[in-house]
Amino acid sequence: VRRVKHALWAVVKSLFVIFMLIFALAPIAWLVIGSLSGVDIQTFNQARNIPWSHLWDNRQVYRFFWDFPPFRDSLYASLILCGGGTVVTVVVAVLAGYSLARFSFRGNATFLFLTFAALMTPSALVLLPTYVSVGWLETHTGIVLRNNYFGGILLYSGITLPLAIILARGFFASLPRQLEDAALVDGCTPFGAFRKVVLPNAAPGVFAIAFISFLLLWSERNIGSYLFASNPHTTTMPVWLFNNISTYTGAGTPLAPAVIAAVPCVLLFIVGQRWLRRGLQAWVVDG
Amino acid sequence: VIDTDGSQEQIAVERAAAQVPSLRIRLARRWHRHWLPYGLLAPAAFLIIVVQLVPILEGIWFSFLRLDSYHMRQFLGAPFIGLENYRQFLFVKANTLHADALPALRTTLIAALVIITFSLTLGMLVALLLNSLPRPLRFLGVLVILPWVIPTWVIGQLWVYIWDREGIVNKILVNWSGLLSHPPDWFRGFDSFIATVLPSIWQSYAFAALVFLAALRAIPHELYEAAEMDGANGWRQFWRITLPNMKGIVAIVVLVAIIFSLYDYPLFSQTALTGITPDRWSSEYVPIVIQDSVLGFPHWGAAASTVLMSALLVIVLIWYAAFRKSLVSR
Repeated sequence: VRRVKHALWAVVKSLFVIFMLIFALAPIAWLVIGSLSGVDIQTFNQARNIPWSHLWDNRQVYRFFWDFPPFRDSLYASLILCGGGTVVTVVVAVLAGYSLARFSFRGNATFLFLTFAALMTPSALVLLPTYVSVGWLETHTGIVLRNNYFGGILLYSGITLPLAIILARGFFASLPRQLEDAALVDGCTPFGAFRKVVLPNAAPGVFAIAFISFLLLWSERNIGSYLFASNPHTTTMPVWLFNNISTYTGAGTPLAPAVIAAVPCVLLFIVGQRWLRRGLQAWVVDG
Repeated sequence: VIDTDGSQEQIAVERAAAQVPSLRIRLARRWHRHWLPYGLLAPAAFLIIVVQLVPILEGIWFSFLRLDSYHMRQFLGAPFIGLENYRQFLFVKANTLHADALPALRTTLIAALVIITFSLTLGMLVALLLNSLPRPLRFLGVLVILPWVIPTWVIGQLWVYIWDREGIVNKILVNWSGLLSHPPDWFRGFDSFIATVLPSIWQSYAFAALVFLAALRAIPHELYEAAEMDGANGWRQFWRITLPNMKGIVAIVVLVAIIFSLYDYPLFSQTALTGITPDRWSSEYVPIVIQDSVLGFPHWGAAASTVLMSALLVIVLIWYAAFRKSLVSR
């Protein structure tokens, strides 16, 4: 009886695994197939059969978009704004998170509260004021934040900063203190201990923060379409696609660009999943 | 361990006392002790204030102004009308935002409940399973968590194309299996609710699974060995060891899920992109309704956003009260 029960359990388990794999991957696979169909979505959906034999021949759809200058520009714009924003966020959030996790000082709790408040604010509330403020800055101080990389990276880094700070704080709080204490005893300054002892051990956590921030920014569409859509070099991919869906229908649009947009995230995830897991693990143990 | 630490500290203190440091070093130490935390915090404080807090305060200020299309150009200089926008949003039946908000609130709350229940359960099951898989099959974990890393707007597009009237779902249901005789319109009525909620579950269960998996790996193995010795079966082990050890992380995932299901404008809006009909399940969600009103009537939108923010604050306080014990005990 025990053996039968064991075998049954194994069957149930593997069935569930297969079900979850299909549930998780089938939509993605369908996206890739659709992008390779070589026709637009409507035609593809109306077709009776899936043109399996033609799929591989239609891979030039990707070539087409890759060589298509406006799309390339938007891809670069996304990489620069999201990548730059991620780097700034991570550097700033790591410093702040360490400070919040390790030092007790006046204003510590207040700052944390404000960060939480910023995290919980609907983006709809912030959008128009940001637009107004950027316009005000432009007319009164001559600092232009619209449609350039400087403003883009500044504003993008601000979007994810609250989340990144909270993640970083949790992560540093989970690192053992002994290492730093030892470094302090050996004559390191507190900042030296942070730079030489803590940071080298924080790589997984830093990667996790960077990855989550990057994911969030990569889907950003509000600020991008209000403030950065008039310069082709700062028009990010989602913004460009949604402004041009009707113009470029045909040639498998817009599924091929969607696949291309997902590739950097998937690659980063597969390459860094070990670090991501370790970073999350540290964060999970006591946040 | 504590003993050696203590003696090390003592040695350090003695060493420090033995040599009287120069003024420069003393100043540097002073700086480190008092100003280092602020120095580390400064860039973050600057960015948070400039990019987040100032716009938030401006937005809250907007909610007290008459910022209709006539006064739009004046922005912060528009006439001050006190709580009128809140009255409009909360009580005036003729107000479009008020009319839309209530059904949207109901749909959103039900959607949030469904999404959280399903994604947490699925996430937990997946995490438990992945944790029990033998090493060579661990790569399956990467595949199952993949939906989480697909950009939100890609997910929206993908599912719009899947739910299409002639899309794959209807093909499977009607043409291939014959389960239904009539292809449903997934963007209307109750079906639109399913069509917007399922993609959210699809994305968020993967995140839950990732976090739960990390938490599972962190539970000390000895606990399970001890339970095994005592003859506790898998079921009991789950309820007595696994779950109590993961309470805190479950709490955090719940919070993240609440915030995202209230705010996930891109996912909801894109799955509901086509054909929204005024209907009980019309895939009108709070974030979409507010976003739309911000474009047309920023003052009402600002009031609605402020109300939403306060409501979320209350939810977070309830959440904190409910989970405080499990957060502290970790």
